[in-house]
Amino acid sequence: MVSTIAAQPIQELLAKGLVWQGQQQLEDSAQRYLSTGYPELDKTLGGGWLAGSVNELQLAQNYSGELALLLPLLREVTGTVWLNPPQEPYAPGWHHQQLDITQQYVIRTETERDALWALQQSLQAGCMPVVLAWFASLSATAVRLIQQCAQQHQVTVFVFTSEQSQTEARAYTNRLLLERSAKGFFVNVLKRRYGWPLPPFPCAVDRHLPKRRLAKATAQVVHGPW
Amino acid sequence: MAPGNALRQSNKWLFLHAPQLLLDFQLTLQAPAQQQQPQALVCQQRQCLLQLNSAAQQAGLHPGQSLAVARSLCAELEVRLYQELQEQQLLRQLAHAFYQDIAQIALFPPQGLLFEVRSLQRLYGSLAQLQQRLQQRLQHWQLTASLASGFSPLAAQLLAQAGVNIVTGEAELVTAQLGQLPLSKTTLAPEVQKRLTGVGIQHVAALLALPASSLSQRFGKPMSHYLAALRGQVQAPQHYYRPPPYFYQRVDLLSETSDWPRLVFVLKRMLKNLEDFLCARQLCTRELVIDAHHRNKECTRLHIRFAHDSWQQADMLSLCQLHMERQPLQTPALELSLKVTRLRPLRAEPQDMLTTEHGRWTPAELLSRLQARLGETAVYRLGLTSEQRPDRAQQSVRASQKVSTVTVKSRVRPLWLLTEPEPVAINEFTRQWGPERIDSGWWDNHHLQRDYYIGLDAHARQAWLFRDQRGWFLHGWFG
Repeated sequence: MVSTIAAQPIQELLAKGLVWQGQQQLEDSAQRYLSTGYPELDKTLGGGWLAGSVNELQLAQNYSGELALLLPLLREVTGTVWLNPPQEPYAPGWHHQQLDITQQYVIRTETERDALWALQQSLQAGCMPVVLAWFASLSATAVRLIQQCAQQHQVTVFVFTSEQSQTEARAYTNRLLLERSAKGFFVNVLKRRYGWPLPPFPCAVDRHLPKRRLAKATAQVVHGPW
Repeated sequence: MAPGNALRQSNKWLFLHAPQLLLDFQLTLQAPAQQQQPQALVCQQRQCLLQLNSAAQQAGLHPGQSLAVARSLCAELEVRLYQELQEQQLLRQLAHAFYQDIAQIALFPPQGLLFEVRSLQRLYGSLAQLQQRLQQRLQHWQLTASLASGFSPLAAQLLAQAGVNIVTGEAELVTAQLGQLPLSKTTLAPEVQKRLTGVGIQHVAALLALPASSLSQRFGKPMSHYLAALRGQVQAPQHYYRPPPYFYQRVDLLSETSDWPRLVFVLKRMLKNLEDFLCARQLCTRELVIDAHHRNKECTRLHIRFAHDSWQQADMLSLCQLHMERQPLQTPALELSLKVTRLRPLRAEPQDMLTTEHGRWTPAELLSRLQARLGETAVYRLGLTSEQRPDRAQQSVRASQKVSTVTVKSRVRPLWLLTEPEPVAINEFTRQWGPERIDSGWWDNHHLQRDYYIGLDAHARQAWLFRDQRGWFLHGWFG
C-alpha cells in the first residue's frame, strides 16, 4: 500500500487532496477576520484577527504601543472589556483617538480566580466583541478553556502578558511579541495559523501616536534638567 | 319576625378565616421532615397554645391548652412564640395575593379577610368558579382556611370563624347555617352572651327570631346595632385593602442559621413573591435590600444593585447568590427581610430586543453579574467631564449610572493615566514635545499649575510628563 502511494507522482497526490500544503492558506469561508488596520500585519495573520480567537500579546515593556496596535480594531467594535489593565485607561486620550468611550467597560479583580471568572462571564455574555485582559501568566488549561469559550461566543480576546521565556505550547491562535526600540515598533510572530514563526518586522503603530521627532533630531536634544 | 323576610338578599360577602395563618406559613419554609415534627405557637402572656400543626394535633393537643399540659402530653413539641406583628404582615401579603382575583378586600386582623363578591359575579360567571380560583390560591399558600358566604360581613365572618365552609348565593342556606351557631361563636361581649343564655337563648337562630325593638329595650343600643349588622341592614364602611407602593417581606428562619443553602431556600420563596408582586403591577427594580436580623446584633444589610431592570426570580436569585458568596454571613441570622422600594415601570426596550439575540446578555446584565460578585466599585465604564485638570477630566461611571454626554475639546492626551503622578528623574527622558501649560482650579482648593511635555524614556516609549513647583513627574503613557 505504502509503495503504491510512493510510486505515484506527487502531482497526482496533490490533485487528490492527499497532501496538505503548509504554505497554502486555507480559505475557510466560515471564519471571519477583523482587520488589524495594518496591511503588513493582516497579511502575516492571514487576513487579520480571527473573530472568536484568543491572541497572546507578549510585551517586552508595557505602554510601548500595544494599544496603538489594537486601536484600529477598537474603533470598529462596540463593546470592549478591559480586564485588570495595568493603569487607568484615560478617557480624554481615547476620546482624542475617536474611540466611543461609552462602550469601554473596565473590570478590576483582586485575585486571578476572580479575573478568570470575570473573563468567562464576559465571553459568555456575547455582547462584548473584544476583551482585553492582562495576566501575569495563564496555564495551558485556562488558555484552552478561554479559547473554546471565545470561539463559541465569537469574542476576540487579547491576553497581555510579559515576555515569556518558556516556549511551552499554549492554545492561542496567535502569539506575538511586541517590542519597541529606538528603530521603531516591532512585531515578532511566535506562533500563527497556517504559517511559520516570523522574524521581527516593523509595524507602523506610531501613526496613531503623537509625532516623534526624527532619530537624528532626538539625538541632538539636550538632556535635562531644563 | 321571620328571618328570611329581612334577609331576602343575595350573599354579597365572602369571608376567609385562616386560624393557623402564621404557623402554616412557617411550615412552608421548612423541609418536609421538619414539618412532621409536632410544633406549636404559644401566647407569651397566658402560656397557652394558639396554633398547632397536624402532628401536634394528632398527639392530642388542642388550642387553648396550657403549655405545661402540652409539654407533659408531648415531650418533643417544638414551641415558638406567637408574633402578632408578623401575622399581620402575613395577612397583608395574603390580601395582596388575593388582590389578583378580587378588587375589594378588607382586612380583619389577625386572621381574616373579607371579600366583596357581588361585583365579581359577572367576571367569574358563577360563585363556584370564583371559589375554585380562591381554593387554588389557598393551596399555593398551603393554608388551612374556611371560606363562608354571607349576606352581611358579620354573618360571613361568624360562619367562617366557626369553621363552616359554605360558598353559596342562597341567603336561606346561610341563614340556616348561621342559626345553628351557638352564641359562644358570636363576637358578642361575654357578659351579654351570659345574659342571653340566662333568658334561654342558646343559638343565633333564637336571637334572630326575636323582635329587634324588644331586644334593644332589654340589652341596649349596642345589641340592636349588632343585630342590624348581622342582618345586613346597616352597612358598616369597610376599609378596603390598597396594595402598598413598595414590597416588604420579613421571614422568620425558625432557627438561627448562617448556612447558605437554607438561606437560599427562604430567599427563593421571597423572591418568588417579589416576582409575583412585580409582575402583577408590571414593575421592575434595580435595587434589593436584604437584611439579615441577628439575635443580639445590628442587622447585616445587603444592598444589591442591578445594572439592568429585573423582575424575574431566577435572574434576581443568581445575582443575590453571587453577592452572598462574596460576603458570607458572619453571624447566624434569625430572620431575613427583603425590601424593594424603588420600583420602575416595566418597559420592553425595543432596542434591546432587536440587538440581543437569543441567549445573549445585554451589557447591563453582564455588569450586574460582575458587580454582584466583584463588588460595585470593581466594574465601571469610562466617562469624560468638561474639566481641564487631567485627573478630573475623566470619571469612572458606575454600572448603574447613566453616562452623561459632554462635548469635550479633543486634545492630545495619553491613553494611560497613572492614578498618582510618579516623581521621575528627568534626565532619563528625552523631551519631544511641549510645553502645554495647564493652569486651572484656582476657584476651589485644588489649584493646579503644570507644564506638560511628551518625552521618550530609555525604551523609546512616549511618556506624559509634567513639571510643577515640586519637580518632574510622570503622569501617563501613550501607546
